[in-house]
Amino acid sequence: MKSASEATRLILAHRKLLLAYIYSIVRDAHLAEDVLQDSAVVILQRWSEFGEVRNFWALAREVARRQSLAALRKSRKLKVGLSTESLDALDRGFDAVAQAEPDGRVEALRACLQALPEGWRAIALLRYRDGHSLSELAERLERSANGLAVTLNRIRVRLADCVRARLKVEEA
Amino acid sequence: MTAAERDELLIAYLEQKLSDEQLKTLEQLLSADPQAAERLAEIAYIDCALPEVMETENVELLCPDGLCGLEDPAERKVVRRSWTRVAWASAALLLFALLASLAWWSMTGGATPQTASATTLGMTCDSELTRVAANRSDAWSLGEAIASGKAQGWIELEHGNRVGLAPNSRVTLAGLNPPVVLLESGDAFFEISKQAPATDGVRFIVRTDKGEVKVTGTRFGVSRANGQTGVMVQEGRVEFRAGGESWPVEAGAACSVAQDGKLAPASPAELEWRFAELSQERAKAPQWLVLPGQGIPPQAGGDPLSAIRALLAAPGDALYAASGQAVVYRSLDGGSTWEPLSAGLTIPVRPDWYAEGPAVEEPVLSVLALGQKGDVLAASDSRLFEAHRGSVFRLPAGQRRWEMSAHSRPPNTQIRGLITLPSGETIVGIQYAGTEISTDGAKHFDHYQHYPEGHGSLMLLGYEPRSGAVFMGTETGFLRSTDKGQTWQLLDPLFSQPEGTHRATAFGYTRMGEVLAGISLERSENERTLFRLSPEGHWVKSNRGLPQKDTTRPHEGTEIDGEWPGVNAILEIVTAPSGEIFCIVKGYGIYRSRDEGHSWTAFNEGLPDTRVHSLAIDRRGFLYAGLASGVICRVRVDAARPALEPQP
Repeated sequence: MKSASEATRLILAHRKLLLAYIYSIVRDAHLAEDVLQDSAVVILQRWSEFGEVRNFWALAREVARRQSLAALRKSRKLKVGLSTESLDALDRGFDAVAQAEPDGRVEALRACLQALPEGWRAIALLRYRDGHSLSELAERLERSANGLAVTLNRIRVRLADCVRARLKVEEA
Repeated sequence: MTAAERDELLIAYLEQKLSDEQLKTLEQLLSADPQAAERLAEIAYIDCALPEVMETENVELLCPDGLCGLEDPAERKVVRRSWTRVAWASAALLLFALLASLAWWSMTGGATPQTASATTLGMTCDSELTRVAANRSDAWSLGEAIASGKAQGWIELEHGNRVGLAPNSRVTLAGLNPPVVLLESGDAFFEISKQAPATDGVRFIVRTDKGEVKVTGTRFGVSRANGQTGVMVQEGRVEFRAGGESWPVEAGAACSVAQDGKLAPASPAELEWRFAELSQERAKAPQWLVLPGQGIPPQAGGDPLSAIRALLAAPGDALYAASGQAVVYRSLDGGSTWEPLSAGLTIPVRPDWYAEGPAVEEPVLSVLALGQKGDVLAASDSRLFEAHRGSVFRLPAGQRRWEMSAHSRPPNTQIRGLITLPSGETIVGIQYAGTEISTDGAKHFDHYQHYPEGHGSLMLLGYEPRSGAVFMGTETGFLRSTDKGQTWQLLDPLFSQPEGTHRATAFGYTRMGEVLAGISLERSENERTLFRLSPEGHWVKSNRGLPQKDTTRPHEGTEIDGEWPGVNAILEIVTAPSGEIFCIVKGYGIYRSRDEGHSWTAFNEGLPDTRVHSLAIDRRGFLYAGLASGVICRVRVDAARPALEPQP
């Protein structure tokens, strides 16, 4: 019989990417957390039924997709944004990203964060670590909210580029 | 579509900002370009992973644009919202979901639980608390987290058990039979009934990352502040397990987990204050609590320089205390521990004074104020005012070194007032001189202006936020400026006749914008009391309930104990967000008004000493008092917004 602790380890290892996958469907951070939790419970409950799991990511992603769509249907505020075809494309995109070792991606992100310009890193910290809203940040930093939103977008893009580049270097 | 346009579209999708038409464009893009979906995955990953990656990072910032003002841990603790909470909640909830699943899985052989009650605990919850993913209003589900924000609150459980959460704390239900509560962060106080059912003699279990407390029926607090776990027992006894050890902790004792993970005895006093407001709440009578104040040297030989001359509650829940020893202390944990910030606080002393050879008393810091963008300002004072030159110091946000502001004021002056206006200007009030204004965040002061002649010395500055007016207290009354200190108008000229001094001792205001002032009437038998500025512009007494002229102590001229102002003087006035007003009455401690300053009652319960020098109130509703002995006390004052009583 397969070990439930092995399932737990795999879930934890893929947690960030699973969360990102769910978030890209539901586009609500709180709901994404809830769906991740539900998905984990489903995986654990049915772990023994799954037989031999060769590609845990694919299994977890499929469970997460179903849970995400179910959660969106239940939610009054949110609607399903993407068609089935687009969701399939999204699956392929995440499958490509999941090729990299989860720990390697985290380490790459950490390094890229250090490489950000100081001012950008400070803004990222205030937004993502400390949870300041855009309007709070704008008020405190005496900048326009629109300008800050653009800066935050650039930070995300820069980090995404940087992580991709680092992982490629490591592959090579 | 360029890569930049693609990224912009993907980000807008994640932020739910796409129109239907733009969504179609996105769908076409995803179908046509496999790289687009991969890019979406990469960006979504950044969004989701960043909070956790940053949470564990020890980041040093170089303070661009004053950003470091938001960089202290205490502020993070308070303002941290969705992302960080979500990240931690995720870990905790997931873990508990896993544990819970595995638990009932093993118990039931994988069968679905038969009833909802098998995974819930009956409860009601104060509205001040936030329930995360609550399924039922009357039940606490396994894995569900409950968190407090700025206010404390109670969870009432079945069988008479209660869990009180201090502000910024969080618990999760991690088990049943007996109930197991995980304290994820902050401080919690537990009242466990001896009537509650027990399993193997245990009625309740509290866990942290460091250890576990098993309870049979008692009242106790568990703290998980600053990465430490401590347990303080008020009644009964608990069993504290950590690091492979198990210690009984009796009533009146405390225990904590040391750095090596082992159990060690702790001082109950160091933990008790964390739960004081929770354990006092039922009494509905707030009491002052002496803060541990670790880091502030104890008063040596009655040295008056040890007094806490000024207190400042800054944004981010940082608390600053200026002692007479020219040191400013900062606490980021509500007053438990303090760090001295003295670098750069070099107060210039006239060389010729030292040359004369007397034992010069050290200059003291007696004014603290907020500056721009999270900066903190301090001003020097001296009991031997000729000995030094009054200076303003600026502690830039996020820094640990003070910088002295440049100025153009005359030599040998004392700073008596320091205020930063919402529009950014900082005004400094100089005794025997006038005012200076800084428009660059207190880096430079200029625009020196001698205040109007005939008013004696400048004693203080004040700001009333509703009208935006600046007030100057002098030896003969008050002046008001409605143009940010450029020009001044005398208030109540008849009151301010120069034949006797009417020295300003304190400034304050009501929630409705009425001005209150402490004034010392030296000509009328040294009466010192509190006045209100009437709508007609006259000062009228507003002192019902305040101590009247002190007849039990000798009045030596106008001075008592060799120090001005004398007994009875109103030293400071602060207004809470709830509308309550507090003032220091010299020699009598603190008085409170709940009717806009018309009547007052003593508010000293629990205060070890009525020689109070300073007051400050923070945004969480804690009122702090700095005492002559160097002790700092705290009381919660806005737990319930008082209904203002009708005016007399």
